[in-house]
Amino acid sequence: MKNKEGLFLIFLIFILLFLVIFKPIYGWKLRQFLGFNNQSQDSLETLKNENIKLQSELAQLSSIQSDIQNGPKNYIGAMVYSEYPMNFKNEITLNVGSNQGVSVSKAVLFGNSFIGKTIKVFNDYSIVQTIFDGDFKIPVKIGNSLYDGLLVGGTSPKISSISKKASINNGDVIIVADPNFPYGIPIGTVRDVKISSDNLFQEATIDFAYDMENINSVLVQK
Amino acid sequence: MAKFFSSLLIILIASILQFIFIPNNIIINFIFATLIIFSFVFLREDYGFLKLLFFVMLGIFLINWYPVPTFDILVYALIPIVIYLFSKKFLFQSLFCAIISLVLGFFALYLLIEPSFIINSFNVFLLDMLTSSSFGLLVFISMDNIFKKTN
Repeated sequence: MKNKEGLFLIFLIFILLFLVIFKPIYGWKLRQFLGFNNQSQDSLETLKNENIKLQSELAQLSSIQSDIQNGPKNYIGAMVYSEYPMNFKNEITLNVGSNQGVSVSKAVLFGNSFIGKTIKVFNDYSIVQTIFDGDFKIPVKIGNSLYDGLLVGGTSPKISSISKKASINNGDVIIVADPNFPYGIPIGTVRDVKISSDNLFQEATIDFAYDMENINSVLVQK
Repeated sequence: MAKFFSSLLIILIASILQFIFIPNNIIINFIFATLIIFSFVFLREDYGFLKLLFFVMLGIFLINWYPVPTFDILVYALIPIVIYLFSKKFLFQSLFCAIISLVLGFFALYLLIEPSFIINSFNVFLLDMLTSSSFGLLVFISMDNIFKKTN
Protein backbone atom coordinates (compact mmCIF):
# COMPACT_ATOMS: atom_id res chain seq x y z
CA MET A 1 0.00 0.00 0.00
CA LYS A 2 2.80 2.36 0.98
CA ASN A 3 4.72 1.49 -2.16
CA LYS A 4 1.64 2.42 -4.18
CA GLU A 5 1.51 5.81 -2.43
CA GLY A 6 5.15 6.47 -3.30
CA LEU A 7 4.67 5.40 -6.92
CA PHE A 8 1.56 7.56 -7.22
CA LEU A 9 3.49 10.59 -5.90
CA ILE A 10 6.33 9.95 -8.38
CA PHE A 11 3.72 9.69 -11.15
CA LEU A 12 2.18 13.04 -10.14
CA ILE A 13 5.60 14.71 -9.91
CA PHE A 14 6.47 13.54 -13.43
CA ILE A 15 3.15 14.79 -14.78
CA LEU A 16 3.78 18.22 -13.23
CA LEU A 17 7.37 18.22 -14.53
CA PHE A 18 6.09 17.40 -18.02
CA LEU A 19 3.50 20.19 -17.82
CA VAL A 20 6.04 22.77 -16.55
CA ILE A 21 8.52 21.98 -19.33
CA PHE A 22 6.31 21.10 -22.32
CA LYS A 23 2.86 22.54 -21.63
CA PRO A 24 3.32 25.67 -19.44
CA ILE A 25 0.16 27.10 -21.00
CA TYR A 26 -1.98 24.95 -18.65
CA GLY A 27 -0.25 26.50 -15.64
CA TRP A 28 -0.85 30.00 -17.05
CA LYS A 29 -4.51 29.23 -17.61
CA LEU A 30 -4.91 27.85 -14.10
CA ARG A 31 -3.16 30.94 -12.76
CA GLN A 32 -5.53 33.21 -14.69
CA PHE A 33 -8.43 31.26 -13.25
CA LEU A 34 -7.11 31.52 -9.68
CA GLY A 35 -6.32 35.21 -10.14
CA PHE A 36 -9.95 35.91 -11.07
CA ASN A 37 -8.84 38.55 -13.58
CA ASN A 38 -11.53 41.20 -13.49
CA GLN A 39 -12.75 41.79 -17.04
CA SER A 40 -15.00 44.69 -16.03
CA GLN A 41 -11.94 46.66 -14.91
CA ASP A 42 -10.78 46.64 -18.54
CA SER A 43 -13.61 48.86 -19.79
CA LEU A 44 -13.04 51.52 -17.13
CA GLU A 45 -9.33 51.51 -17.80
CA THR A 46 -9.95 51.68 -21.55
CA LEU A 47 -11.90 54.90 -20.95
CA LYS A 48 -9.04 56.32 -18.86
CA ASN A 49 -6.68 55.32 -21.66
CA GLU A 50 -8.82 57.12 -24.22
CA ASN A 51 -8.60 60.25 -22.10
CA ILE A 52 -4.81 60.09 -21.96
CA LYS A 53 -4.68 59.38 -25.69
CA LEU A 54 -6.74 62.51 -26.38
CA GLN A 55 -4.45 64.58 -24.18
CA SER A 56 -1.46 63.14 -26.02
CA GLU A 57 -2.94 64.04 -29.41
CA LEU A 58 -3.71 67.54 -28.19
CA ALA A 59 -0.11 67.95 -27.03
CA GLN A 60 1.19 66.82 -30.40
CA LEU A 61 -1.25 68.86 -32.46
CA SER A 62 -0.53 72.06 -30.58
CA SER A 63 3.19 71.89 -31.17
CA ILE A 64 4.67 69.42 -33.60
CA GLN A 65 1.87 67.92 -35.66
CA SER A 66 3.49 69.06 -38.88
CA ASP A 67 6.85 67.54 -37.96
CA ILE A 68 5.88 64.08 -36.95
CA GLN A 69 5.08 61.02 -38.99
CA ASN A 70 2.19 58.82 -38.14
CA GLY A 71 3.33 55.68 -36.30
CA PRO A 72 2.89 52.34 -37.95
CA LYS A 73 -0.69 51.11 -37.71
CA ASN A 74 0.10 47.42 -37.79
CA TYR A 75 -0.45 46.08 -34.32
CA ILE A 76 -1.54 42.61 -33.36
CA GLY A 77 -3.86 41.81 -30.47
CA ALA A 78 -2.49 39.46 -27.81
CA MET A 79 -3.66 37.89 -24.57
CA VAL A 80 -1.58 38.11 -21.40
CA TYR A 81 -0.89 34.57 -20.22
CA SER A 82 1.23 35.14 -17.16
CA GLU A 83 3.41 37.55 -15.18
CA TYR A 84 6.84 37.22 -13.60
CA PRO A 85 6.08 35.78 -10.15
CA MET A 86 8.53 37.76 -8.01
CA ASN A 87 9.60 41.37 -7.47
CA PHE A 88 12.95 41.38 -9.28
CA LYS A 89 11.49 41.91 -12.73
CA ASN A 90 8.21 42.98 -14.23
CA GLU A 91 7.61 40.84 -17.27
CA ILE A 92 4.49 39.43 -18.87
CA THR A 93 4.04 36.48 -21.22
CA LEU A 94 1.90 36.95 -24.34
CA ASN A 95 0.23 34.35 -26.56
CA VAL A 96 1.84 35.65 -29.76
CA GLY A 97 5.33 35.02 -31.07
CA SER A 98 7.42 34.92 -34.22
CA ASN A 99 4.77 32.75 -35.94
CA GLN A 100 2.37 35.68 -35.62
CA GLY A 101 4.95 38.23 -36.85
CA VAL A 102 6.20 39.53 -33.49
CA SER A 103 9.89 40.38 -33.10
CA VAL A 104 12.16 41.71 -30.35
CA SER A 105 12.13 45.39 -29.23
CA LYS A 106 8.61 46.18 -30.39
CA ALA A 107 6.18 48.42 -28.55
CA VAL A 108 3.41 46.87 -26.47
CA LEU A 109 0.27 48.89 -25.72
CA PHE A 110 -2.69 48.53 -23.41
CA GLY A 111 -5.53 50.41 -25.01
CA ASN A 112 -3.53 53.38 -26.25
CA SER A 113 -0.92 53.47 -23.50
CA PHE A 114 2.64 52.23 -23.90
CA ILE A 115 3.28 49.54 -21.28
CA GLY A 116 6.56 47.96 -22.42
CA LYS A 117 8.56 46.26 -25.13
CA THR A 118 9.14 42.70 -26.33
CA ILE A 119 12.46 41.34 -25.07
CA LYS A 120 12.27 37.66 -26.00
CA VAL A 121 10.22 36.05 -28.74
CA PHE A 122 9.44 32.34 -29.04
CA ASN A 123 7.42 30.66 -31.82
CA ASP A 124 4.05 31.17 -30.16
CA TYR A 125 4.89 33.21 -27.05
CA SER A 126 6.74 36.40 -26.32
CA ILE A 127 8.07 38.00 -23.15
CA VAL A 128 7.45 41.71 -22.53
CA GLN A 129 9.53 43.88 -20.21
CA THR A 130 7.09 46.42 -18.78
CA ILE A 131 7.79 49.95 -17.63
CA PHE A 132 7.41 48.64 -14.06
CA ASP A 133 10.64 46.66 -14.43
CA GLY A 134 13.59 48.18 -12.53
CA ASP A 135 15.86 47.94 -15.59
CA PHE A 136 13.46 49.68 -17.98
CA LYS A 137 14.57 53.08 -19.32
CA ILE A 138 13.17 55.09 -22.23
CA PRO A 139 13.41 58.73 -23.39
CA VAL A 140 10.11 60.60 -23.17
CA LYS A 141 8.57 64.02 -23.88
CA ILE A 142 6.37 65.81 -21.38
CA GLY A 143 3.48 68.23 -21.79
CA ASN A 144 2.47 70.54 -24.66
CA SER A 145 6.00 71.99 -24.79
CA LEU A 146 7.46 68.48 -25.14
CA TYR A 147 10.17 68.79 -22.51
CA ASP A 148 12.71 65.96 -22.48
CA GLY A 149 12.85 63.40 -19.72
CA LEU A 150 13.95 59.84 -19.04
CA LEU A 151 11.45 57.29 -17.82
CA VAL A 152 13.08 55.04 -15.22
CA GLY A 153 11.15 51.86 -14.48
CA GLY A 154 10.45 50.24 -11.13
CA THR A 155 7.52 49.42 -8.87
CA SER A 156 6.81 53.19 -9.02
CA PRO A 157 8.25 54.42 -12.34
CA LYS A 158 9.36 58.05 -12.50
CA ILE A 159 10.58 60.58 -15.04
CA SER A 160 14.08 61.80 -14.26
CA SER A 161 16.58 64.17 -15.93
CA ILE A 162 13.97 66.89 -16.58
CA SER A 163 15.61 70.29 -17.00
CA LYS A 164 15.11 72.61 -14.01
CA LYS A 165 13.96 75.25 -16.50
CA ALA A 166 11.12 73.06 -17.79
CA SER A 167 7.68 74.14 -16.67
CA ILE A 168 6.02 70.85 -15.81
CA ASN A 169 2.54 70.73 -14.34
CA ASN A 170 0.51 67.98 -12.74
CA GLY A 171 -1.61 66.30 -15.43
CA ASP A 172 0.83 66.95 -18.29
CA VAL A 173 0.84 64.00 -20.65
CA ILE A 174 4.01 61.89 -21.04
CA ILE A 175 4.73 60.37 -24.46
CA VAL A 176 7.31 57.96 -25.88
CA ALA A 177 10.27 59.59 -27.66
CA ASP A 178 12.44 56.57 -28.36
CA PRO A 179 13.55 56.11 -31.98
CA ASN A 180 12.90 52.36 -31.71
CA PHE A 181 9.15 52.90 -31.22
CA PRO A 182 6.45 54.93 -32.97
CA TYR A 183 6.68 58.52 -31.77
CA GLY A 184 4.08 59.96 -29.44
CA ILE A 185 2.53 56.90 -27.80
CA PRO A 186 1.14 58.11 -24.45
CA ILE A 187 2.51 56.55 -21.25
CA GLY A 188 0.61 58.40 -18.54
CA THR A 189 0.34 61.82 -16.95
CA VAL A 190 2.50 63.72 -14.47
CA ARG A 191 1.30 63.23 -10.89
CA ASP A 192 3.84 65.23 -8.96
CA VAL A 193 7.05 67.15 -9.73
CA LYS A 194 10.02 67.87 -7.46
CA ILE A 195 13.71 68.74 -7.63
CA SER A 196 15.97 65.68 -7.77
CA SER A 197 18.13 64.78 -4.76
CA ASP A 198 21.32 65.91 -6.56
CA ASN A 199 19.62 69.29 -7.15
CA LEU A 200 20.52 69.20 -10.87
CA PHE A 201 17.20 68.20 -12.46
CA GLN A 202 13.50 67.87 -11.83
CA GLU A 203 11.84 64.49 -11.50
CA ALA A 204 8.20 63.50 -11.75
CA THR A 205 6.01 60.66 -10.58
CA ILE A 206 3.45 59.23 -13.01
CA ASP A 207 -0.28 58.55 -13.01
CA PHE A 208 -1.23 55.55 -15.10
CA ALA A 209 -4.64 54.88 -16.57
CA TYR A 210 -4.50 51.18 -15.64
CA ASP A 211 -3.35 48.65 -13.07
CA MET A 212 -0.92 46.08 -14.42
CA GLU A 213 -2.65 43.21 -12.62
CA ASN A 214 -5.91 43.97 -14.45
CA ILE A 215 -4.42 43.82 -17.93
CA ASN A 216 -5.64 40.77 -19.84
CA SER A 217 -5.07 41.81 -23.44
CA VAL A 218 -2.57 44.09 -25.19
CA LEU A 219 -1.52 45.27 -28.65
CA VAL A 220 1.93 44.37 -29.98
CA GLN A 221 3.66 46.31 -32.74
CA LYS A 222 4.48 44.02 -35.68
CA MET B 1 -3.64 11.53 3.55
CA ALA B 2 -5.57 14.23 5.43
CA LYS B 3 -2.37 16.23 5.80
CA PHE B 4 -1.69 15.92 2.06
CA PHE B 5 -5.13 17.20 1.05
CA SER B 6 -5.00 19.97 3.67
CA SER B 7 -1.66 21.01 2.17
CA LEU B 8 -3.26 21.00 -1.28
CA LEU B 9 -5.95 23.34 0.00
CA ILE B 10 -3.37 25.60 1.67
CA ILE B 11 -1.24 25.92 -1.48
CA LEU B 12 -4.43 26.80 -3.37
CA ILE B 13 -5.24 29.53 -0.83
CA ALA B 14 -1.64 30.79 -1.00
CA SER B 15 -1.89 30.93 -4.82
CA ILE B 16 -5.14 32.88 -4.78
CA LEU B 17 -3.67 35.31 -2.24
CA GLN B 18 -0.49 35.74 -4.31
CA PHE B 19 -2.39 36.39 -7.55
CA ILE B 20 -5.01 38.71 -6.08
CA PHE B 21 -3.23 40.60 -3.29
CA ILE B 22 -0.65 42.76 -5.12
CA PRO B 23 -0.28 46.02 -3.14
CA ASN B 24 1.36 48.79 -5.23
CA ASN B 25 2.68 46.29 -7.78
CA ILE B 26 4.57 44.44 -5.02
CA ILE B 27 4.28 40.66 -5.28
CA ILE B 28 4.00 38.85 -1.97
CA ASN B 29 5.48 35.34 -2.19
CA PHE B 30 2.82 33.43 -0.27
CA ILE B 31 3.53 30.26 -2.26
CA PHE B 32 7.25 30.37 -1.50
CA ALA B 33 6.64 30.84 2.24
CA THR B 34 4.15 27.96 2.18
CA LEU B 35 6.68 25.67 0.47
CA ILE B 36 9.29 26.49 3.13
CA ILE B 37 6.77 25.59 5.84
CA PHE B 38 5.88 22.37 3.99
CA SER B 39 9.53 21.34 4.28
CA PHE B 40 8.81 21.08 8.05
CA VAL B 41 5.27 19.72 7.71
CA PHE B 42 6.42 16.64 5.78
CA LEU B 43 9.63 16.09 7.75
CA ARG B 44 8.42 13.01 9.63
CA GLU B 45 5.98 11.75 7.03
CA ASP B 46 6.35 8.60 4.98
CA TYR B 47 7.48 9.73 1.54
CA GLY B 48 7.84 13.23 3.01
CA PHE B 49 10.44 14.20 0.43
CA LEU B 50 8.22 13.08 -2.47
CA LYS B 51 5.27 14.96 -1.00
CA LEU B 52 7.36 18.12 -0.68
CA LEU B 53 8.65 17.62 -4.22
CA PHE B 54 5.07 17.31 -5.47
CA PHE B 55 4.09 20.62 -3.84
CA VAL B 56 7.26 22.34 -5.09
CA MET B 57 6.41 21.20 -8.63
CA LEU B 58 2.82 22.33 -8.18
CA GLY B 59 4.05 25.72 -6.96
CA ILE B 60 6.32 26.06 -9.98
CA PHE B 61 3.53 24.95 -12.31
CA LEU B 62 1.41 27.79 -10.92
CA ILE B 63 3.97 30.61 -10.83
CA ASN B 64 6.11 29.83 -13.88
CA TRP B 65 5.84 32.63 -16.42
CA TYR B 66 8.44 31.53 -18.95
CA PRO B 67 8.04 28.92 -21.72
CA VAL B 68 11.40 27.33 -20.77
CA PRO B 69 12.96 26.61 -17.34
CA THR B 70 14.89 29.56 -15.86
CA PHE B 71 17.48 30.12 -13.12
CA ASP B 72 14.94 32.09 -11.05
CA ILE B 73 12.49 29.19 -10.99
CA LEU B 74 15.26 26.71 -10.21
CA VAL B 75 16.31 28.75 -7.16
CA TYR B 76 12.66 29.07 -6.12
CA ALA B 77 12.34 25.28 -6.20
CA LEU B 78 15.65 24.37 -4.62
CA ILE B 79 15.43 26.50 -1.45
CA PRO B 80 12.53 24.55 0.19
CA ILE B 81 14.22 21.27 -0.81
CA VAL B 82 17.55 22.34 0.74
CA ILE B 83 15.72 23.42 3.92
CA TYR B 84 13.99 20.02 4.06
CA LEU B 85 17.27 18.11 3.70
CA PHE B 86 19.02 20.34 6.24
CA SER B 87 16.16 20.01 8.76
CA LYS B 88 16.04 16.24 8.25
CA LYS B 89 19.75 15.93 8.96
CA PHE B 90 19.75 18.14 12.05
CA LEU B 91 16.18 17.33 13.23
CA PHE B 92 15.02 20.94 13.11
CA GLN B 93 11.25 21.23 13.31
CA SER B 94 10.29 23.72 16.02
CA LEU B 95 8.49 27.00 15.45
CA PHE B 96 11.77 28.82 16.03
CA CYS B 97 13.44 26.79 13.26
CA ALA B 98 10.53 27.59 10.93
CA ILE B 99 10.95 31.33 11.58
CA ILE B 100 14.71 31.14 10.98
CA SER B 101 14.13 29.11 7.79
CA LEU B 102 11.61 31.61 6.45
CA VAL B 103 13.98 34.54 7.03
CA LEU B 104 17.00 32.70 5.61
CA GLY B 105 14.92 31.33 2.72
CA PHE B 106 13.82 34.82 1.68
CA PHE B 107 17.34 36.20 2.03
CA ALA B 108 18.67 33.32 -0.08
CA LEU B 109 15.98 33.85 -2.74
CA TYR B 110 16.75 37.55 -3.09
CA LEU B 111 20.53 37.15 -2.79
CA LEU B 112 20.75 34.40 -5.40
CA ILE B 113 18.46 36.03 -7.98
CA GLU B 114 19.09 39.79 -7.58
CA PRO B 115 21.33 40.70 -4.61
CA SER B 116 21.19 44.46 -5.29
CA PHE B 117 17.39 44.39 -4.93
CA ILE B 118 17.64 44.09 -1.12
CA ILE B 119 19.57 47.37 -0.91
CA ASN B 120 17.81 49.24 -3.72
CA SER B 121 14.28 48.25 -2.71
CA PHE B 122 14.62 47.29 0.94
CA ASN B 123 11.01 48.27 1.71
CA VAL B 124 9.71 45.89 -0.96
CA PHE B 125 11.92 43.08 0.34
CA LEU B 126 10.81 43.70 3.92
CA LEU B 127 7.11 43.86 3.02
CA ASP B 128 7.37 40.65 1.01
CA MET B 129 9.32 38.78 3.68
CA LEU B 130 7.20 39.91 6.65
CA THR B 131 3.81 39.37 4.99
CA SER B 132 4.71 36.03 3.43
CA SER B 133 6.42 34.78 6.60
CA SER B 134 3.39 35.74 8.71
CA PHE B 135 1.22 33.65 6.42
CA GLY B 136 3.78 30.84 6.56
CA LEU B 137 3.84 30.86 10.35
CA LEU B 138 0.06 30.80 10.45
CA VAL B 139 0.15 27.69 8.26
CA PHE B 140 2.84 26.12 10.48
CA ILE B 141 0.94 26.76 13.73
CA SER B 142 -2.41 25.63 12.26
CA MET B 143 -1.04 22.40 10.83
CA ASP B 144 1.00 21.72 13.95
CA ASN B 145 -2.10 22.04 16.12
CA ILE B 146 -4.45 20.14 13.82
CA PHE B 147 -2.15 17.19 13.14
CA LYS B 148 -0.42 16.96 16.53
CA LYS B 149 -2.78 14.19 17.64
CA THR B 150 -2.33 12.16 14.51
CA ASN B 151 1.49 12.13 14.73
